[in-house]
Amino acid sequence: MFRRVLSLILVVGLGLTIGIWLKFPTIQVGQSPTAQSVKVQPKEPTLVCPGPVFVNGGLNGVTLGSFTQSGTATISGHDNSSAISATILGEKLLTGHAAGSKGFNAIQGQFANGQQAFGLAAASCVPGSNQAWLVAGDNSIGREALLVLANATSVDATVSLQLYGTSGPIQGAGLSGISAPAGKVTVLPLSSFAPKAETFAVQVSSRGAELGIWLQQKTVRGLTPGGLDLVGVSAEPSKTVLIPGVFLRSSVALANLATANKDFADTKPILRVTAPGEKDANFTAQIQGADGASFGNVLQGTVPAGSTRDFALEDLTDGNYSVQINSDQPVLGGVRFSRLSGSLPDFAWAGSVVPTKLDAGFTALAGATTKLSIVNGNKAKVSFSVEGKTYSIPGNSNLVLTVSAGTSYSIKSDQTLSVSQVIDIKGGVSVAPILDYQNVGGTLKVLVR
Amino acid sequence: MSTQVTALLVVHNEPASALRALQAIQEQTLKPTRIVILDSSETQTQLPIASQTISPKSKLGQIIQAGLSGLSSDPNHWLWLVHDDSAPAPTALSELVLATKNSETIAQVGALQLSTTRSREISQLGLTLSRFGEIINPVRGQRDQAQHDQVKDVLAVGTSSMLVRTDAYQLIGGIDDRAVALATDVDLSMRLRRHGFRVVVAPRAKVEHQGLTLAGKRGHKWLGGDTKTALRKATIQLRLVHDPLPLALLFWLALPLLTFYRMFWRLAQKRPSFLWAELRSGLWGFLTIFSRLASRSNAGKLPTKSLKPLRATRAEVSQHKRQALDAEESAQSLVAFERGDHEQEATEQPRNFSQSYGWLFMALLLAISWQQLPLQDAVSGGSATPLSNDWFAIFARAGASWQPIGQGFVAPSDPFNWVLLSISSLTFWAPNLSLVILLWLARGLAFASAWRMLSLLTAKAWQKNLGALLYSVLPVFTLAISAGDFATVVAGILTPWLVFAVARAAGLGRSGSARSDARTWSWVGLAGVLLAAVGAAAPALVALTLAGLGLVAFTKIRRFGYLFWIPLPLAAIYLPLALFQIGEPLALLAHPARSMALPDALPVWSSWVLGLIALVALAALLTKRWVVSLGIAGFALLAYVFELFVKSLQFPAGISGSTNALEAAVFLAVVALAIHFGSQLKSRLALAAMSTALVVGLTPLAYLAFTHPNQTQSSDGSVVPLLLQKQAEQGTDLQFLVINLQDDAYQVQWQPIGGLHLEDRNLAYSFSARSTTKDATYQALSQVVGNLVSANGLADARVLRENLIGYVLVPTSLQNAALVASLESSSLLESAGLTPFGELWRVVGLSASDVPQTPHSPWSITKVVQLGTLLGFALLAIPSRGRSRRPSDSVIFIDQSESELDV
Repeated sequence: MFRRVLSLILVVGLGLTIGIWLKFPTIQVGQSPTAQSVKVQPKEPTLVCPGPVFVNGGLNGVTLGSFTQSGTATISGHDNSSAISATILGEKLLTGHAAGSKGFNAIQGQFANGQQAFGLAAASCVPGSNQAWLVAGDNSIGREALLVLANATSVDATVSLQLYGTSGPIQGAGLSGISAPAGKVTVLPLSSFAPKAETFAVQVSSRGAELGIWLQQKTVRGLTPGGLDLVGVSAEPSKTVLIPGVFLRSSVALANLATANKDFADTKPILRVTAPGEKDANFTAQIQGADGASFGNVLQGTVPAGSTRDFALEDLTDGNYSVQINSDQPVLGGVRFSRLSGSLPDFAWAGSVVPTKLDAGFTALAGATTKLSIVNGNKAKVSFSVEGKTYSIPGNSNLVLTVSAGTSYSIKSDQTLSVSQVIDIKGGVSVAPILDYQNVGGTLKVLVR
Repeated sequence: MSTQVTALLVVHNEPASALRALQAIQEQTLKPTRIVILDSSETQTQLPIASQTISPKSKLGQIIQAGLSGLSSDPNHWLWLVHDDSAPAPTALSELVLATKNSETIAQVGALQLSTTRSREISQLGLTLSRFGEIINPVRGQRDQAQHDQVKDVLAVGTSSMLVRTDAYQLIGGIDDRAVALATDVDLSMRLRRHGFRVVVAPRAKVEHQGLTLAGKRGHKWLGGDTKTALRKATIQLRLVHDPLPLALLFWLALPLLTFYRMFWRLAQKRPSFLWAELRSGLWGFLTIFSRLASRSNAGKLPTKSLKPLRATRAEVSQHKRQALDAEESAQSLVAFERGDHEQEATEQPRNFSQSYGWLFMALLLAISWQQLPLQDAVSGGSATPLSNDWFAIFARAGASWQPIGQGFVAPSDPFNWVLLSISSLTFWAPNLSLVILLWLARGLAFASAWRMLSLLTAKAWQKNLGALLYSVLPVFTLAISAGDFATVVAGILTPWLVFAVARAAGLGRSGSARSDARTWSWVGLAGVLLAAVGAAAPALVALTLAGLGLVAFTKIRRFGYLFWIPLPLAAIYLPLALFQIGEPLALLAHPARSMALPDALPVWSSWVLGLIALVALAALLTKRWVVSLGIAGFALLAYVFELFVKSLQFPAGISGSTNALEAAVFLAVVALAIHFGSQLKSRLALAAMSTALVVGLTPLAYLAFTHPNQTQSSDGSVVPLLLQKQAEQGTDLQFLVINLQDDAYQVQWQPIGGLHLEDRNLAYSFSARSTTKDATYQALSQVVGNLVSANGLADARVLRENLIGYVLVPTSLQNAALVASLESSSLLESAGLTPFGELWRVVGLSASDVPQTPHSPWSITKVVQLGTLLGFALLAIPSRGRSRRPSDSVIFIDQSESELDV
């Protein structure tokens, strides 16, 4: 028996010794392939600006189906050390020297005050893309949503659209194979795909050249124009969506207007949520005021799979807000809000912005009052600097900074942030996200196996 | 005129026998006319009568010619040739001479040869040939009961104590010394026959014959090889000399192929000891054709066909072989008994798998594996990559020395490809289906395998069932199945089988079966194939299994001759890779399956359950057979240490060690120990406690196996977009690039247009990162990719065309969005659309029709050797017909004690 017990002790002892104390040093066997550093020249930096507002009926307003650009738009920008400033009558291709937004950026703006359009339309000039989500638009009576596709390259593009309405994806003829010829701007009235639809989101996919993609939304009540916006590309679907730049003003007056006239009901702020996936999305939206000056709200809702729904943002007083949506499925989001510009309302669509660790640049539109709405969707505090001046923003909060018109700024953060410019001219409002693009170039790491 | 007989005694190094033979000649009732002694011994033999000394190198024909010199050759003069290992009975010569009186055409008379050890056993009475030219000794082994006592015609007689007419002998040119030793007798008789003479046997002429030549006791030099070689050479000689010329030439031409076939046939017969003889004889026959043809010069005018009635019938051949086998088996059994290493059937006949309701448990395990139900053609994801849908492509990759990766890579393919080839061959029309079915059957097969192994330790069916169930639901096995890690699954299934087969070959375990040589070779064959498969599937297990095999060989040193051959197939398939990785030997421990980027996690409680089983296992050390338990526990600890060592190895990205298979081996030993403990228990209470503990462990593990989510997804087996697949099917050398942005680096995979399937995975390539990335072509391609992704319009189309890159694919992902946009704007590329694998572009100006496929032979010397070895062992592994004696036939074995493992 002694030998048996001894063997047991031996085995248990050895087992424990091996399990607890035996540690082999890490031995490298073979080499992982290392990526090769390749020096490449970046693509010539270009930005495309959509130009002035598109109006139906030609210059005289009588040629239906013909969209022409009306008025002039002002471009403010920055290319390396030189400022860009221009007034344009049509789409504009800017060619720069710096490869990223930090050195080369531009924004365009136009306060339209004509028979067919009234309001501020401002948008960042963009380097172009092949994919875009646009969470905005209304095709009901008196409302017009136009898809603007600017192809400033020498290569044609073919575009496909997918519209997500309240009852799911909108089917119809002509949604694919749409031609966007080289060097031209193609304008598509979305009412031809989704007539009278009040609520929808658009997914644009193109093959061939990269396009500048915007959605121009316009409101005319009776014969009086009452709102205009140029909506840029939204962030990709995500379970967390950050929407900066919901700056509400003249809420009481607008509410009274809506009460008095049903045609002004769309001046109330709404949150638009699209669930492009195959499952229903249950979300919670936190509308959060900046600086503690305004209290927000919390909204919960469900969006059926493949559809878009609007949710009224109730009980919000004037203030600077941002929206954070947390969902169990990837969603897209955008907020429409209005202001009074004199006696007429104007509206803006604040789109969601991809949280990015920023090293970007932007220019505040000349002749406009511009504020930055900065949202930190992280739990932890984030430090960032604007033109060298450092700021910090607590976790899950937002901050507002005022910037000077016509001035270019650089912005850099140590963690991800979502930032938009809120632009105000004569009471008209527009929201344009800060873009952090960078042309691929310099030294790249490439591993061919 | 009276008959004259010259007795010719040929002496060669057997003085005592020669003296006895001379005495026998002198004691004949019919005295020979004269006695001539010819001595070719190394040292001259002292005999009462003067002998003529002949060179020891002289052959029999020369010796006889020397004896006949100066003597007349006429029909009344006969030569009686007596070998020094023969002792003719006193009436032998008179009976032989009497037989000659039957006919004037009789030219040769053979005697009835009796065994020297068993005096009434016939060792030869005439010789004949089978259909295939093998020499048949038709009445060998029979007891002489006067049943053959009639003079009768035969095809041939042995030269020992034959009486041959001297004129006929001289007419045919005597014994042909060009013929191999064992063919001379039959050749002489056949030539006499073909010259129109008769050859008969006189059974009353009895001769005791030691048969030293046939027994190989005169030395291999005399025979021209060992007995097996000599016999085969004799067959070849006779066919080349006596077959019609066209047939003989055809036989000669087919001889290499025939030799190859016969080698496999010998393996199928479980007679690997004949391999060398077959090879040597085949080469000899093929290379000495002119000498054989020269022997045809005086073969006789009558066609060999005329001798057909004297040839052995099929029944006679069959009976002859059966007798030979029986004799061999009896001899081996006796030798084994004398050695004392034979085994006995267990006194308590255990219930077999079916009687133990093994099928029921297998069915239960299949139900538990519901997530792996084979409802699809293939699986991908996790560690799984589909095989090619073309079986020939898998065959081409097994044992290949050239890999279709990048520019083409010269390196040995993974040994695991042989396992994949074997499995996929089961459903060769849809190779992936076998793998899908394997995942579903894995637990059931592991159960059956472990059940077999546990039968080495216990006879109780419920204990085997319980232990096998525990093994089949081990968490590590569950992980491998859910991840589609085919290599670990194969290793998990086969390891217990391997242990069982090695134990059988070594004669270890509760019941033995290695009573016959053929059966032992079967186990050796099976163990060899299994070791190769396990080693290929889990290379880290190789060192462990070889250590175990070494230990077994050490404890069963008498079985070393068998066990030595077990690693041969493993060596055959691993040697090329081992030589390739000679500078990085630890690379041989790399696992052949793709490692998962995020390994699947198991619940913590599964470790506690395994701890409980380990506790039960430890109790085995306190039982009576603690030495066996200590051995198993030691092996488990060794496996554990080795697992920790392999875990400490850091392989290149995407490669890991076979740690899961090692962990399975550790727990196989733990389960074996637990069951060994149970087999020692007598008390019902203790048995109940032990089984309760194991069932408590089994239940959560079965639940885990039932619920653990699959990491794999259904697939149609394609790995590239349909467009590329179809172009690959048409046959083209076009390649394509897969570009992915990962961790700020563009990862580019350079693949053949048909994509990389599971069989294309190559460890040698994975370990050759440094050499390939320094290659100028790879650097040029990197530059082109850099220019493409930056969309600067500077990408050099020439580099793409020169490297036959026809397509570029970018997998769909958020990170690749900018990459897609860049490639869209390139004028070198033309969009081919969005595919399930991502965005695809065609390189402008290069089409599949411009680049036809370069044929690559699927064969190489390496492959032939590997395939030959594997097939040989597979043939060896197939059990032969049950020819071994039943226990009741061999009473001498019944009282044998238990084997050494049962100490």
